[in-house]
Amino acid sequence: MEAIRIEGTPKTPSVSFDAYKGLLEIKGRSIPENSIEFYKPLIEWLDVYGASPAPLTTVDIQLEYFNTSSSKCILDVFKKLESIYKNGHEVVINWYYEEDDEDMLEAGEDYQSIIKIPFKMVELEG
Amino acid sequence: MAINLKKIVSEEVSEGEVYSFIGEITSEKITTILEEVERKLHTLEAVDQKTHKRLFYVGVESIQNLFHHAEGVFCKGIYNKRIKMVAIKILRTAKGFEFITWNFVTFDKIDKIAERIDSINKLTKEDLKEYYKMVLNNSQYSEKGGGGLGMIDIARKAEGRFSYEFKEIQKNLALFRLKIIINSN
Repeated sequence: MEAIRIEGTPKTPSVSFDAYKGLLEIKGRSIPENSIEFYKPLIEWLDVYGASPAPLTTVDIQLEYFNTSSSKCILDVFKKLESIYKNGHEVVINWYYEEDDEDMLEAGEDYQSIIKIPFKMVELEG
Repeated sequence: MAINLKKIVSEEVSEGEVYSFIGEITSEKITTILEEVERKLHTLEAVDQKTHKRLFYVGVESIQNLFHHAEGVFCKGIYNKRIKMVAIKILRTAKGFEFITWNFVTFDKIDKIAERIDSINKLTKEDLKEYYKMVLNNSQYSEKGGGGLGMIDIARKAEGRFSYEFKEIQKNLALFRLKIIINSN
Protein backbone atom coordinates (compact mmCIF):
# COMPACT_ATOMS: atom_id res chain seq x y z
CA MET A 1 0.00 0.00 0.00
CA GLU A 2 1.37 3.38 -0.98
CA ALA A 3 2.55 5.64 1.82
CA ILE A 4 1.25 9.18 2.26
CA ARG A 5 3.87 11.91 2.57
CA ILE A 6 2.75 15.53 2.71
CA GLU A 7 5.03 18.48 3.43
CA GLY A 8 3.83 20.93 6.07
CA THR A 9 2.74 24.48 5.21
CA PRO A 10 1.97 27.48 7.49
CA LYS A 11 -1.63 26.22 7.64
CA THR A 12 -1.41 22.46 7.21
CA PRO A 13 0.61 19.78 9.01
CA SER A 14 3.22 17.44 7.62
CA VAL A 15 1.82 13.94 7.27
CA SER A 16 3.59 10.63 6.99
CA PHE A 17 1.47 7.46 6.88
CA ASP A 18 3.54 4.30 6.34
CA ALA A 19 1.46 1.13 6.14
CA TYR A 20 4.47 -1.22 6.06
CA LYS A 21 5.92 0.17 9.31
CA GLY A 22 2.50 0.88 10.83
CA LEU A 23 3.74 4.38 11.62
CA LEU A 24 1.41 7.35 11.22
CA GLU A 25 2.62 10.89 11.93
CA ILE A 26 0.85 14.26 11.85
CA LYS A 27 3.03 17.20 12.87
CA GLY A 28 2.97 21.00 12.82
CA ARG A 29 0.01 23.33 12.37
CA SER A 30 -3.46 22.36 11.28
CA ILE A 31 -5.39 25.58 10.73
CA PRO A 32 -6.77 25.43 7.17
CA GLU A 33 -10.11 27.08 6.33
CA ASN A 34 -11.27 23.83 4.77
CA SER A 35 -10.05 20.99 6.94
CA ILE A 36 -12.36 18.38 5.43
CA GLU A 37 -10.60 18.75 2.08
CA PHE A 38 -7.20 18.23 3.71
CA TYR A 39 -8.17 15.25 5.89
CA LYS A 40 -10.36 13.38 3.37
CA PRO A 41 -7.46 11.51 1.69
CA LEU A 42 -6.10 10.54 5.12
CA ILE A 43 -9.46 9.09 6.17
CA GLU A 44 -9.73 7.21 2.87
CA TRP A 45 -6.19 5.85 3.30
CA LEU A 46 -7.13 4.60 6.78
CA ASP A 47 -10.20 2.82 5.36
CA VAL A 48 -7.93 0.79 3.07
CA TYR A 49 -5.20 0.35 5.72
CA GLY A 50 -7.79 -0.93 8.23
CA ALA A 51 -8.47 -4.00 6.07
CA SER A 52 -4.94 -5.38 6.70
CA PRO A 53 -3.09 -3.19 9.19
CA ALA A 54 0.42 -3.74 10.60
CA PRO A 55 0.52 -5.84 13.83
CA LEU A 56 1.17 -2.60 15.72
CA THR A 57 0.05 0.82 14.52
CA THR A 58 1.87 3.70 16.21
CA VAL A 59 0.33 7.15 15.78
CA ASP A 60 2.38 10.23 16.62
CA ILE A 61 0.42 13.48 16.84
CA GLN A 62 2.60 16.51 17.46
CA LEU A 63 0.63 19.64 16.77
CA GLU A 64 1.60 23.19 17.61
CA TYR A 65 -1.86 24.61 16.82
CA PHE A 66 -5.06 23.21 15.39
CA ASN A 67 -8.31 24.96 14.63
CA THR A 68 -11.74 23.67 15.56
CA SER A 69 -12.53 22.59 12.02
CA SER A 70 -9.42 20.34 12.17
CA SER A 71 -10.39 19.05 15.61
CA LYS A 72 -13.41 17.18 14.19
CA CYS A 73 -11.32 15.78 11.33
CA ILE A 74 -8.66 14.59 13.81
CA LEU A 75 -11.44 12.85 15.75
CA ASP A 76 -12.53 11.18 12.50
CA VAL A 77 -8.94 9.89 12.09
CA PHE A 78 -9.04 8.56 15.66
CA LYS A 79 -12.40 6.88 15.06
CA LYS A 80 -10.93 4.99 12.09
CA LEU A 81 -8.04 3.90 14.34
CA GLU A 82 -10.50 2.91 17.05
CA SER A 83 -12.24 0.57 14.68
CA ILE A 84 -8.86 -1.03 13.75
CA TYR A 85 -8.19 -1.46 17.49
CA LYS A 86 -11.64 -2.95 18.09
CA ASN A 87 -10.94 -5.50 15.35
CA GLY A 88 -8.15 -6.90 17.52
CA HIS A 89 -5.11 -5.04 16.20
CA GLU A 90 -2.70 -3.17 18.40
CA VAL A 91 -2.90 0.63 18.13
CA VAL A 92 -1.23 3.24 20.27
CA ILE A 93 -1.60 7.01 20.00
CA ASN A 94 1.19 9.26 21.27
CA TRP A 95 -0.11 12.79 21.84
CA TYR A 96 2.86 15.16 22.10
CA TYR A 97 2.59 18.54 23.80
CA GLU A 98 5.14 21.14 24.73
CA GLU A 99 6.10 21.60 28.33
CA ASP A 100 3.64 24.04 29.99
CA ASP A 101 1.21 23.90 27.04
CA GLU A 102 -1.74 22.91 29.19
CA ASP A 103 -4.24 23.72 26.42
CA MET A 104 -2.64 21.12 24.12
CA LEU A 105 -2.51 18.62 27.00
CA GLU A 106 -6.20 19.27 27.70
CA ALA A 107 -7.04 18.86 24.00
CA GLY A 108 -5.36 15.44 24.10
CA GLU A 109 -7.29 14.53 27.23
CA ASP A 110 -10.55 15.52 25.52
CA TYR A 111 -9.81 13.00 22.75
CA GLN A 112 -8.64 10.41 25.27
CA SER A 113 -12.01 10.59 27.01
CA ILE A 114 -13.89 10.01 23.72
CA ILE A 115 -11.71 7.42 21.97
CA LYS A 116 -11.17 4.01 23.47
CA ILE A 117 -7.58 3.32 22.33
CA PRO A 118 -4.35 3.34 24.40
CA PHE A 119 -3.49 7.04 24.45
CA LYS A 120 -0.16 8.29 25.79
CA MET A 121 0.48 11.91 26.71
CA VAL A 122 4.10 12.74 25.93
CA GLU A 123 5.54 15.99 27.23
CA LEU A 124 8.23 17.60 25.10
CA GLU A 125 10.82 19.49 27.07
CA GLY A 126 11.35 23.07 25.94
CA MET B 1 -25.53 54.70 1.21
CA ALA B 2 -21.82 53.95 1.17
CA ILE B 3 -20.57 52.29 4.34
CA ASN B 4 -17.28 53.59 5.62
CA LEU B 5 -16.01 50.78 7.82
CA LYS B 6 -12.68 52.52 8.27
CA LYS B 7 -14.40 55.61 9.70
CA ILE B 8 -16.60 53.54 12.03
CA VAL B 9 -13.66 51.54 13.37
CA SER B 10 -11.36 54.55 13.69
CA GLU B 11 -13.90 56.16 16.03
CA GLU B 12 -13.21 53.35 18.51
CA VAL B 13 -10.79 53.73 21.37
CA SER B 14 -7.47 52.38 20.17
CA GLU B 15 -5.30 52.85 23.23
CA GLY B 16 -2.84 50.00 23.52
CA GLU B 17 -3.35 48.97 19.90
CA VAL B 18 -1.17 46.03 18.97
CA TYR B 19 -2.65 45.23 15.59
CA SER B 20 -5.40 46.40 13.28
CA PHE B 21 -6.78 45.38 9.92
CA ILE B 22 -9.59 46.83 7.85
CA GLY B 23 -10.39 45.39 4.46
CA GLU B 24 -11.56 42.44 2.46
CA ILE B 25 -11.02 39.02 3.99
CA THR B 26 -9.91 36.16 1.76
CA SER B 27 -8.20 32.83 2.40
CA GLU B 28 -4.84 34.29 1.33
CA LYS B 29 -5.41 37.36 3.49
CA ILE B 30 -6.03 35.15 6.55
CA THR B 31 -2.53 33.69 6.15
CA THR B 32 -0.99 37.17 5.91
CA ILE B 33 -2.97 38.50 8.87
CA LEU B 34 -2.01 35.54 11.07
CA GLU B 35 1.65 35.94 10.13
CA GLU B 36 1.48 39.65 10.98
CA VAL B 37 -0.33 39.00 14.28
CA GLU B 38 2.24 36.39 15.25
CA ARG B 39 5.10 38.72 14.38
CA LYS B 40 3.55 41.51 16.47
CA LEU B 41 3.00 39.18 19.42
CA HIS B 42 6.67 38.19 19.35
CA THR B 43 7.70 41.83 19.70
CA LEU B 44 5.58 42.40 22.81
CA GLU B 45 7.32 42.40 26.14
CA ALA B 46 6.14 40.50 29.19
CA VAL B 47 3.66 38.23 27.45
CA ASP B 48 3.85 34.69 28.77
CA GLN B 49 3.82 31.77 26.36
CA LYS B 50 0.34 30.65 27.41
CA THR B 51 -1.23 34.06 26.69
CA HIS B 52 0.69 34.27 23.43
CA LYS B 53 -0.64 30.91 22.28
CA ARG B 54 -4.17 31.68 23.40
CA LEU B 55 -4.16 34.98 21.52
CA PHE B 56 -3.09 33.14 18.39
CA TYR B 57 -5.80 30.49 18.87
CA VAL B 58 -8.45 33.18 19.34
CA GLY B 59 -7.06 34.94 16.27
CA VAL B 60 -7.29 31.83 14.09
CA GLU B 61 -10.85 30.99 15.11
CA SER B 62 -12.26 34.49 15.02
CA ILE B 63 -10.65 35.44 11.70
CA GLN B 64 -11.82 32.19 10.12
CA ASN B 65 -15.30 32.86 11.56
CA LEU B 66 -15.23 36.21 9.76
CA PHE B 67 -14.21 34.49 6.54
CA HIS B 68 -16.99 31.89 6.76
CA HIS B 69 -19.84 33.97 8.17
CA ALA B 70 -19.39 37.64 7.28
CA GLU B 71 -22.00 39.03 4.91
CA GLY B 72 -20.94 40.26 1.49
CA VAL B 73 -21.16 43.91 0.53
CA PHE B 74 -22.85 46.07 -2.05
CA CYS B 75 -20.30 47.36 -4.48
CA LYS B 76 -21.59 50.16 -6.73
CA GLY B 77 -25.14 49.06 -5.96
CA ILE B 78 -24.53 45.37 -6.77
CA TYR B 79 -24.48 42.79 -4.00
CA ASN B 80 -21.41 40.57 -4.05
CA LYS B 81 -21.51 37.79 -1.47
CA ARG B 82 -17.84 36.98 -1.99
CA ILE B 83 -16.54 40.41 -1.04
CA LYS B 84 -16.48 40.40 2.73
CA MET B 85 -15.32 43.58 4.38
CA VAL B 86 -14.19 43.15 7.98
CA ALA B 87 -12.12 44.83 10.65
CA ILE B 88 -9.90 43.38 13.36
CA LYS B 89 -8.22 45.09 16.27
CA ILE B 90 -6.05 43.73 19.07
CA LEU B 91 -5.63 45.99 22.09
CA ARG B 92 -3.38 45.48 25.08
CA THR B 93 -5.08 46.41 28.34
CA ALA B 94 -4.07 46.41 32.00
CA LYS B 95 -5.59 42.94 32.45
CA GLY B 96 -4.50 41.36 29.20
CA PHE B 97 -5.81 41.74 25.68
CA GLU B 98 -8.98 42.57 23.80
CA PHE B 99 -9.58 40.99 20.43
CA ILE B 100 -12.27 42.94 18.56
CA THR B 101 -13.80 42.06 15.21
CA TRP B 102 -16.38 43.78 13.01
CA ASN B 103 -18.37 42.28 10.18
CA PHE B 104 -21.67 42.82 8.44
CA VAL B 105 -24.70 40.63 9.05
CA THR B 106 -28.23 40.67 7.72
CA PHE B 107 -31.03 41.35 10.22
CA ASP B 108 -32.36 37.78 10.12
CA LYS B 109 -29.07 36.50 11.64
CA ILE B 110 -29.00 38.89 14.60
CA ASP B 111 -31.23 36.97 17.04
CA LYS B 112 -29.46 33.67 16.36
CA ILE B 113 -25.99 35.16 16.88
CA ALA B 114 -27.06 36.98 20.06
CA GLU B 115 -28.68 33.85 21.51
CA ARG B 116 -25.57 31.80 20.74
CA ILE B 117 -23.23 34.27 22.46
CA ASP B 118 -25.55 34.78 25.44
CA SER B 119 -25.81 31.03 25.99
CA ILE B 120 -22.02 30.55 25.81
CA ASN B 121 -21.45 33.52 28.15
CA LYS B 122 -23.52 31.76 30.83
CA LEU B 123 -21.38 28.61 30.85
CA THR B 124 -18.73 27.87 33.44
CA LYS B 125 -15.28 26.55 32.52
CA GLU B 126 -16.41 22.98 33.27
CA ASP B 127 -19.66 23.44 31.29
CA LEU B 128 -17.65 24.68 28.31
CA LYS B 129 -15.38 21.65 28.45
CA GLU B 130 -18.33 19.23 28.45
CA TYR B 131 -20.18 21.21 25.77
CA TYR B 132 -17.03 21.24 23.59
CA LYS B 133 -16.62 17.46 23.90
CA MET B 134 -20.28 16.89 23.10
CA VAL B 135 -20.18 19.01 19.92
CA LEU B 136 -16.75 17.58 18.96
CA ASN B 137 -18.22 14.09 19.02
CA ASN B 138 -21.52 14.82 17.23
CA SER B 139 -20.09 13.96 13.76
CA GLN B 140 -21.81 16.97 12.19
CA TYR B 141 -20.22 19.43 9.81
CA SER B 142 -21.87 22.57 8.52
CA GLU B 143 -22.09 23.20 4.79
CA LYS B 144 -19.24 25.69 5.26
CA GLY B 145 -17.06 22.94 6.76
CA GLY B 146 -17.29 24.22 10.32
CA GLY B 147 -18.08 22.03 13.22
CA GLY B 148 -19.95 24.48 15.48
CA LEU B 149 -16.99 24.55 17.86
CA GLY B 150 -15.41 27.92 17.07
CA MET B 151 -17.16 30.12 19.63
CA ILE B 152 -17.01 27.41 22.31
CA ASP B 153 -13.27 27.03 21.82
CA ILE B 154 -12.70 30.79 21.84
CA ALA B 155 -14.62 30.98 25.14
CA ARG B 156 -12.50 28.16 26.58
CA LYS B 157 -9.24 29.77 25.53
CA ALA B 158 -10.17 33.33 26.42
CA GLU B 159 -11.61 32.53 29.85
CA GLY B 160 -13.36 35.89 29.58
CA ARG B 161 -16.83 36.85 28.47
CA PHE B 162 -17.82 37.97 25.00
CA SER B 163 -19.43 41.35 24.58
CA TYR B 164 -21.14 42.37 21.39
CA GLU B 165 -23.34 44.91 19.67
CA PHE B 166 -25.23 45.26 16.44
CA LYS B 167 -25.38 48.65 14.79
CA GLU B 168 -27.94 49.24 12.07
CA ILE B 169 -26.12 50.48 8.99
CA GLN B 170 -28.75 50.39 6.30
CA LYS B 171 -31.91 48.51 5.44
CA ASN B 172 -31.40 44.86 6.43
CA LEU B 173 -27.68 45.26 7.16
CA ALA B 174 -26.06 45.63 10.57
CA LEU B 175 -22.47 45.92 11.69
CA PHE B 176 -21.67 43.20 14.24
CA ARG B 177 -18.95 44.06 16.73
CA LEU B 178 -17.57 41.25 18.88
CA LYS B 179 -15.14 41.80 21.72
CA ILE B 180 -13.23 38.89 23.22
CA ILE B 181 -11.33 39.50 26.43
CA ILE B 182 -8.20 37.46 27.01
CA ASN B 183 -6.86 37.76 30.52
CA SER B 184 -3.12 37.42 31.06
CA ASN B 185 -1.90 35.23 33.87
